[in-house]
Amino acid sequence: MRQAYRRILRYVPRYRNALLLGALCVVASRLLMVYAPRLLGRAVNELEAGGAAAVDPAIRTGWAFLGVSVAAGVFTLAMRRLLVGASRRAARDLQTDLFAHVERLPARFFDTTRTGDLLARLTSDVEAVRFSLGPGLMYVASTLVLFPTAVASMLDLSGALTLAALGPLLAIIAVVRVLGPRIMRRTRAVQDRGGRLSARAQESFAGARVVRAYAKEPVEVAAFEHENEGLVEETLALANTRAVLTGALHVLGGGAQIVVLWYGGSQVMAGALELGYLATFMLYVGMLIWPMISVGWVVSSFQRSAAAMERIDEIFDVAAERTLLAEPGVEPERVRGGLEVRGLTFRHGGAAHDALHDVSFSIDAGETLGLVGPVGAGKSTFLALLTRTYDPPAGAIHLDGHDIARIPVETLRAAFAVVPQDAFLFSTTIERNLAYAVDGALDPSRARGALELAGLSSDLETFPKGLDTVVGERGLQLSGGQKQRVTIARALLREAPVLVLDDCLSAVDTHTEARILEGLRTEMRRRTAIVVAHRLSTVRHADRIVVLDGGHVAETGTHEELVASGGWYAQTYAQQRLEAELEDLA
Amino acid sequence: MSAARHPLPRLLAYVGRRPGLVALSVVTMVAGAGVDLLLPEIVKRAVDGPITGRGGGFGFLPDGADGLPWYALGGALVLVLGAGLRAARAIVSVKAGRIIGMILRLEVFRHIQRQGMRYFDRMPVGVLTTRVTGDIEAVEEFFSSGVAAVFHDVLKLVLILVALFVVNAQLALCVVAVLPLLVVAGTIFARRSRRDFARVRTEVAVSNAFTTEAITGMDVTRLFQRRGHAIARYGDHAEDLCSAHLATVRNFALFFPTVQALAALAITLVVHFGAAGIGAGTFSYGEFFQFYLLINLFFEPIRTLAENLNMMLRAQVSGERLFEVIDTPPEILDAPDAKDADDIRGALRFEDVHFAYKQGEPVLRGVSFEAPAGSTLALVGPTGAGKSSILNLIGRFYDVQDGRVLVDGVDVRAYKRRALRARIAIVLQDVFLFRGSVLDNVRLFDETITREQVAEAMRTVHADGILARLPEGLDAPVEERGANFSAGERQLLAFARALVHDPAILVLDEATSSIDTATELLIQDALEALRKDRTTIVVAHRLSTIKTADRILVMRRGEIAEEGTHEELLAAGGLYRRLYELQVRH
Repeated sequence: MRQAYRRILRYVPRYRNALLLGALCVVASRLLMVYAPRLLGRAVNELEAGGAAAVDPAIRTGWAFLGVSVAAGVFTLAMRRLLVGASRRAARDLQTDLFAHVERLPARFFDTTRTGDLLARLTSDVEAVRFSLGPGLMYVASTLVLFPTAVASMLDLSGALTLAALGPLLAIIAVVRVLGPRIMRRTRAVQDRGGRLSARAQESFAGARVVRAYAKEPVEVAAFEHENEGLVEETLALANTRAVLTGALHVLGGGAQIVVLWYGGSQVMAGALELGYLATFMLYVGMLIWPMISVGWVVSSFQRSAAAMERIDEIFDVAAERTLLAEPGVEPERVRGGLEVRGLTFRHGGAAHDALHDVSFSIDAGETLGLVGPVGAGKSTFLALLTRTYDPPAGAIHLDGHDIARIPVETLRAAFAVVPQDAFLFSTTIERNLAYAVDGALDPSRARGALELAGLSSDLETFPKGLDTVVGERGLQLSGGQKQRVTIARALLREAPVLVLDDCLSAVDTHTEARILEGLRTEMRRRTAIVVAHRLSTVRHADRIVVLDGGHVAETGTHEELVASGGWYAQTYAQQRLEAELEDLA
Repeated sequence: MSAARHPLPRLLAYVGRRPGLVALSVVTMVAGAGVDLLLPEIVKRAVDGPITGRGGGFGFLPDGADGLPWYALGGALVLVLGAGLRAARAIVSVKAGRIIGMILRLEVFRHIQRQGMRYFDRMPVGVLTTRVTGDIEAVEEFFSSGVAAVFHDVLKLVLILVALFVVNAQLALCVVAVLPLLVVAGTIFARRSRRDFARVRTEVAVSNAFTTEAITGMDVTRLFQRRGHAIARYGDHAEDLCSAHLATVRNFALFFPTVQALAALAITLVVHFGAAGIGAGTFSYGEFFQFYLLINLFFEPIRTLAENLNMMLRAQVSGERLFEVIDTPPEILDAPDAKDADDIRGALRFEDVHFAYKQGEPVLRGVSFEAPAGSTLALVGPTGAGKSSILNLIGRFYDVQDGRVLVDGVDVRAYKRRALRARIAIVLQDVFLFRGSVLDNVRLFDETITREQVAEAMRTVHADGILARLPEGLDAPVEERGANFSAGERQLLAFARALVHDPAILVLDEATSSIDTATELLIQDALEALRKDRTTIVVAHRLSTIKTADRILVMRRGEIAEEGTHEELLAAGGLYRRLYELQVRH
């Protein structure tokens, strides 16, 4: 457990002042809290002893009680602000560091990790750690000061009564230790059931069409009803356990007061205890109930947060992406984009077949390569290897004659401007999405030029705020084709020698595609271009076309050569001509 | 409409669904609040009777040292009774809330399941899911904590005030004097915490949305080398969230010590004005103890009251949304005398059908055709020609504006919708798979379809090859949206799904994307098996499918441009012939 928290210790020094001051406030507030009941008891004792003449001193003591109580409150306020505040700030630091680490993890990591899980690490796990180390430790510290001083003060008044009153109070710890974990387990069970119900509903709504098509609404309702009842059952079980705890705490807390009334009362009658201090004892007993509850409960919260910290550590322990291999000397002065692939074979972790098998081809700098083939042929895998999103085998891919596995990854990626297959845009303004491609400020005239080339200028005029239009869920919903064109403009703004278009015009019609390709032609002549496409008309002007099928190179050649050869390319081209002709009817 | 705007009375009407539970919860509440007042009374009597020997004890108990154990016993009994009532209240109020929530949740879900596709086109899945999760939870809280707790807290405050006045009206004014300060503090706290929590909720949502997007968009960040930028922006979000949290920390840090200090003030005022009374004999020590205990009880509900009031506001918003869902009538309803469709043979006829999704934008303009039972009809034409709309109308996902759709010579509107759909199977291009198992997905969670039937259907459509790579076979898990299956595999699973439901009419939107050559052949073959002895309406993209159809419709701009068999259309020398020649020439 201590091991798990080691990482946290590094956040301590920067909040040293707040933590030290907070600790002082803990001590001051708890000492004052322990002192206040004695004053109230003394006021009663003064009345009891002095009769009418003692009224004024008793009243003065009463106001002193208020003064001490208020002072205790001020220190408590400061304590919470300092310590809980520091825990919030430290949690923010931990979150930011964790996120920065996640940003550096290799693509492989994200293939096997769900976004939801990562989000949970960054939010609920960090919160569990924060809670136990912030408020949790604060309660522990507070108890560590309050309990001994209150007990000392009680012992000073009556040893026997102290021992009698502590019995039920200490029993509270035991009850919380027994019921606490059970409540936590049940709470988790309720959350699980709730998650299942939510998932069930979500699936049912997302698949509404299938449900309707097969008339399965009754099946869906029955399944949901089952989850619904299960959730309620689980919730009620939790409520029962909680109710037992509530009842037990009421009996034990009140029991301590009854003990004080009985045993303390008889001591007063015997003259061993002053009447006012009977009131003091009652205040002490009331004051100690919460610290007793919190002790049992903080211990459980530490167990939970240690588990959370371990999960966070697991992420920190994943090695960041390799940025350099053994030979840092290999660094092209200026990448031109000549590409040679020699016997490239690659298999994804855990896969049964090679995603790419013995793939070889080459293009010269400044040429355009067309890469086509059926779904799952290995086109996207090739692009991922080219940009070292996945690590390629050494010696298989050469850029301007250098093995890309030996080029520093930052240098390598700077050579590419990629338009990815899924037109991913951030939910922010179009301008900020475009600015993603450039270091520093975005030059508006260049931006307009790129949008013009991407064929988005006329669409842009219809957007409410032009470049400042927010896109995505909370903004303007762009069509698939519009999104693709924004991503093209984004890539064009990046000054890189190799332009990669990964099936990025699939959502626009053939005519728009032809127009955009026409516009891009100058750009593509300026650079080396790799065009992956499903629609073969996209690559027909490429200098060389490579057809991949099942990870193998099936055909290579120019458009004319491939059409003449009568293979997959020729067949698919004919098929797509038919579709294109059909579209022309519209 | 007005009910949706004033949801609380309508929510309260749900109490009628479980009147016994609600009555029981009120009884435990009232009794509990009453019993809580007994302990201070017993303490007073014990102090004024046996302990100080002033003759103020219960008349029926001895006044000396012998009497004290009886007071303790009485106190213990009251404690146990109080604990029992508290536990009962906790259980019953949660139960009432959850059961009413369960009823309402099922009602909402069932109502959503009665909606047609237009509703789902309009409502995002996330919104609908929130209705049956978060919104219902708010309502549950409203019943189990909100209404009940507010009622309980107010009742308790009133009872305590009454008790204070009964004991000593003059000194009760000391507590009343503090009340305005308490109300001010409570109001400020409630207002701030509502504002702060709203801010925290917003910041949490914004930062989670950012994080999710940052993780899903990691590829783009990597390729454009914008890591630093993403980390900096996350830092900003973490900072905003942290400062929102710090506002709540400040608010809570201030409120609780303030309430403590006000309680101390009330006690001090009692000492101040009561001291002379004790000397004069108008105020006893026992009464002082009782005052002290009652004041403590009085300040207990104050802390939760503000929170519970906020809960009621939340329930109001959620209730409004829930009733909006319930009050939206389904667009398509069965006619009262609707027929079963168990025995239909699948003869299909469109008679001068006019249809539009949106008013003024017709997609079908007078379409008439006929497909005899067991025949195959191919629909050919450009996107937007109305092919998918024809498919939608067959399953009665939408109703026609004019004309008729007939199955076995009967208007589809005369059938029970679900009965009709149970005889139609629809396979769309984008196959929706549910989270669950392969088995669940083929039989759509319908356990009246056996494992053997599913296995048999899988074999018939060649989907058993998929199982070969899955160790769990039919029980292999399917991830969200079927992410762990390829496009071709999803198609085959959809075929198995269609076959196992043994439809009279098969509606198929052929996939356009090319799948690897081997799977493509499997799919063609499977389609052959699936079509046998069924009326098949297929939106065709492949020449092989088109050629084998009994009848071909060439659609254009919502109308039928040409109609006939492959040979007839070729002979007619129109559009179809041109398309065909284009295809064959290559």
